[in-house]
Amino acid sequence: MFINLLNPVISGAASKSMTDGEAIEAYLATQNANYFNVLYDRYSAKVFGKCYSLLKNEAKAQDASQEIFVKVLLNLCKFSGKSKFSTWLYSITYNFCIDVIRKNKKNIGVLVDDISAYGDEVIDEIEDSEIMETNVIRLKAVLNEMPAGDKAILLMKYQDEFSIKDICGILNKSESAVKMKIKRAKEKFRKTYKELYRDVA
Amino acid sequence: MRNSFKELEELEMQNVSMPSDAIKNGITSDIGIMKYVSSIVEMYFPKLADLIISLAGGSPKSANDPKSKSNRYPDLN
Repeated sequence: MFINLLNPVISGAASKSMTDGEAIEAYLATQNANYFNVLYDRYSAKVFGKCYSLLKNEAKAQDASQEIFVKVLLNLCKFSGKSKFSTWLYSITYNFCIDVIRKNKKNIGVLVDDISAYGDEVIDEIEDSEIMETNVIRLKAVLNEMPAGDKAILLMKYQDEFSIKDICGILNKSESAVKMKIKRAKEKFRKTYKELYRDVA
Repeated sequence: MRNSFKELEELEMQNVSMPSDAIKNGITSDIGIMKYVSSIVEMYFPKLADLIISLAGGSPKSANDPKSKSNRYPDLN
């Protein structure tokens, strides 16, 4: 009666050729956990990686990944297919991790801060290339110093290449609010970079 | 354009070993517990509802059902 995700029945070739949509449809039609296994095998490493990147702790990332997949499994019937499954899954991942950090710290930075809390100083628009072409080691160091909310929004935009519309859906914010948050996160990135590598640059 | 974020993602995936089976076991266990609890609720909730209605002075739906009455007191029919 209990589902067992550890006993794959579908052949490897069949599962590889299956699209996300097909696997979801098959799972909903049959309730066969092996179809969910296809999705799990495809995305678990990325979900775990994102959780680890945001929570900075392997045990917490493991717990978070587990809860995220249980949530996905229970809400799979609500997935409308309007967006890609990966976008939906990562939105659950980001929101879950942000909630965990919020509970732990009660202070998540830009994601929950009121925009009006920022000063009125005018800063030049930061080009995407300036951030995207940062040295990887430095990028990692800078992101680790940033508030989780700023980090999450930069990861959504540059790592997952979500559109503004997708991010609006994930954060449940208006387009202008999301654009402002991205702008603020980029400014924070630049500021943190300068603080860390003042002497090197 | 080069994307360091993608490179960072790959780097982190290589460095972090994912405890795949532990997570799978956890999901199986969580879903198992949920199914177990939901089956118990499904089994006992109607009886609990009947009990609450009885305690409140009403008669449970099953008692109003003529079929149930005939089953409960077959000799009276």
